[in-house]
Amino acid sequence: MRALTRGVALGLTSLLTLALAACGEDGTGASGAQTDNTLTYAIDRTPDTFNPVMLLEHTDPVTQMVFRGLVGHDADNQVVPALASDWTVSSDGLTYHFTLREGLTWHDGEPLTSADVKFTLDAVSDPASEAAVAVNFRAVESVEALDDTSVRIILSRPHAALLDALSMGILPEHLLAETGITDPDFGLDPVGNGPFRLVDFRNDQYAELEAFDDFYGGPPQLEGIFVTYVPDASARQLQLESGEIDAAYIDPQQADAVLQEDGLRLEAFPTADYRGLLFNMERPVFEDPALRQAMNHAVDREALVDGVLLGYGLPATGPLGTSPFGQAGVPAYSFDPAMVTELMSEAGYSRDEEGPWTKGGQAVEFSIATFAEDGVRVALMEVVTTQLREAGFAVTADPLPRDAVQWDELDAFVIGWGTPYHPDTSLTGPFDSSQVLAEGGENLGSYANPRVDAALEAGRVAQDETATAAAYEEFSRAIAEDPPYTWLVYLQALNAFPADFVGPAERTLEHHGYGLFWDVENWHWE
Amino acid sequence: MSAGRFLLQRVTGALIVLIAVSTLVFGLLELAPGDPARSVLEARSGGRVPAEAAVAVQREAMGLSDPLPLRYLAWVTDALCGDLGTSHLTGRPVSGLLGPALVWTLVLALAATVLSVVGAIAVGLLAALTDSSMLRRGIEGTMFALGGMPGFVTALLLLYLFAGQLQLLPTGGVGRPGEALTAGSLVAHLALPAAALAFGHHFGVYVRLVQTGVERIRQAPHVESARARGLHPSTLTRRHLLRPGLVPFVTRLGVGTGGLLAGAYVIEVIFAWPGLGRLAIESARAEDYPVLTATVLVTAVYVLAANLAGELAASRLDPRVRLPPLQGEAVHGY
Repeated sequence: MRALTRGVALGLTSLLTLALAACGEDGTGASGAQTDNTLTYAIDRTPDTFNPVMLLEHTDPVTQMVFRGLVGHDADNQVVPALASDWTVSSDGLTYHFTLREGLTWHDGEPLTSADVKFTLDAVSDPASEAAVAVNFRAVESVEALDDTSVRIILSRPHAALLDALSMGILPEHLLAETGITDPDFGLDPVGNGPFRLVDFRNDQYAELEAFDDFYGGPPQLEGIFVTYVPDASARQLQLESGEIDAAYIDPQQADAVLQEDGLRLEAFPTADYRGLLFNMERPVFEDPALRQAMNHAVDREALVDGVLLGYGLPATGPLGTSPFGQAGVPAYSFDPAMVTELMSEAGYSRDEEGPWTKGGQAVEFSIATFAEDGVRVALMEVVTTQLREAGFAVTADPLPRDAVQWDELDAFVIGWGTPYHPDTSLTGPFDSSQVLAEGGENLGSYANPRVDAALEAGRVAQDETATAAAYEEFSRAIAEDPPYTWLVYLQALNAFPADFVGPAERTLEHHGYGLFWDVENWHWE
Repeated sequence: MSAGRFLLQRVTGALIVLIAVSTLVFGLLELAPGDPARSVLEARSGGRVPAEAAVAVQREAMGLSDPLPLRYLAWVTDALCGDLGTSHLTGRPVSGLLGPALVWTLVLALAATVLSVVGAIAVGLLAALTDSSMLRRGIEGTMFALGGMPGFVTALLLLYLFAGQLQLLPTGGVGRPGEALTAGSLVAHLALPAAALAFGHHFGVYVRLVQTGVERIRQAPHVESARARGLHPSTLTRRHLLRPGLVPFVTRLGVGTGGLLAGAYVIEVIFAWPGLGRLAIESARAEDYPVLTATVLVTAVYVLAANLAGELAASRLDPRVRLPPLQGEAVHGY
């Protein structure tokens, strides 16, 4: 017992000594922001892989810094040169010819050539490919490396979204020829070609990146970047305040605290990520387009933005609201109770003072579901339910655990899609009649409209901006007249950055704010 | 019963529990709604709803279409050989993920256990032996409040006070990114999560057990007689009060380890601690079943081992623990 007591006492003393020593080491153990030329940025979750071909519309910060594709995107999300210095597309839209920059190298010093491009594209366009991005490359028929710096891609059918898809990172043949592009070890220890290289990754802790001086765009301005993984949003806020981290992805609930903190700046960027109320078109109640138009007038989107998103969002009146294509010139749905009454009455519905709209003795009655795990969607669902009830629709709200969702059994659902790039990537899946749920597709509401199908096809084959814009304007008109959804809001992505730091230039981001690190080579301390 | 037989009996019992737990976990996961193939696809596309056709392909690739008994058998065989499977999400061996996470959780649990043992003995003894009823009531009141407070509230309070307001201690992680791990920085990073874990889970109960254990024995005849013999108070406390008085506490401590670990799940998320709990929560969220089953299995081994250690320690403190009570003779004193 004496030995035990002594042991415990000794342990306690050494603990205390260590704690004191820790305090002595750097003042508080939580000293102020980094003074060296690095940035520490926190997000919530550790990604499962840094392999760009395993991430679909889901560009993790590390992946975005480590890898570059043939092309990239500028602040307006227009396609610009990256690994390729220029390219041509044949007038039939079937042949693409890319010229690579001279002297490209991998992070391990090996040269990057057209063979790597061929290797990567062959692998992702293989029908048996397990790559998540394979869906974007189904039109690729063959890839040829003509010489070290030129590549020819031949398509089996025109696919205008291919250029955007080619912003996906190119992979090194010399490391993956044996194991294949989906090699899990490479996924967590990648060798890339981007402005930063990954030097250390600790699961659930952090990723350490170092500037790659041989980057084709010249050495990045920062020497290093740490991405740390802090799941709790309040903990991220405290770390920002204590200076343990410099910058972080934050929730709207933290925005006020960031605005009040000296030395921090709030960046609220638009995203292409929208939320809408999907209708199951198999349900007879949704048959009349006038009813769906009326519901689009019954929703107060400003109230949703202010009440649910705390102001950090935009009203959505269609799926292309933050896209450079397609919604200009199409009348936007406004919150207009008089219009609801007018449209419903014209369509033959009637209602008593307090009762719901009815037609032929049938009340307009349905339930709205959404993923119970997603707090924002649940809040949107609840407010929309209230708004629709006020407008005379007998609606109930019924959140479901993600796993319990059976798409064919739902009436309506708070759903989210959207891409800041070529619209086709996020329109054909949800709205083309060839993609209906029964056929195993992403058209979860089984929406079918020949005019929409035709416009989407025109968009896929359009080879110039005018034709593309015309196709998606026609698409937007068609879905405005026969709405598949009641459009709700666009989310914004919120990030805190140090006030004296020159960070990302504003740009419309992917969903969940992915794509923030697009110009990381230019970031620097003032 | 000899110490060897006692040990053998307990280890056999633990093994049976382990087999039952693994079967149960595997069965429950099978019954759980949802489709891991769908989850993998969703994770890779940042939550995008996957097409049914893609889900079917993925199910096939993950071998989810094999019959359940076949999969269970394969899993048990592999687990016995030390292969805990491959993560659905990363495609890497589960053991590679689990190893570091287990070490970090052990470090955290050990620190929390040391804190709560030392703290509970000190405070419990003080409450039992003090002559000031005000002090005793103060301690009891505080412990009552602490006992009623959920662990995450304690955690957030500590975080707010020491990291937010005073900025004395770091709020999360096991060290500063990119810096070599030093003892000083580890202790600084351990301080808040360990304290939250120690004082947010069972601490009030522990203090109470020490206090009542010692108080009851204090009045026992052999202690009275030792006191009458003029034994030095510190020797009396150590030999006659503390040692037998701690038995209920030590036994409870072993059981409490399970609760401590459950608490660690939440604490690790709040303090960004890269341990087993965070891994389990992340893998449950992503339906990464191989990782989830392995974390549950490792947690079960850990809890069983802790219970065993608690029983062994208690049996060393008081040999009567490992003896079945004789007919007609009750075990007195506690």
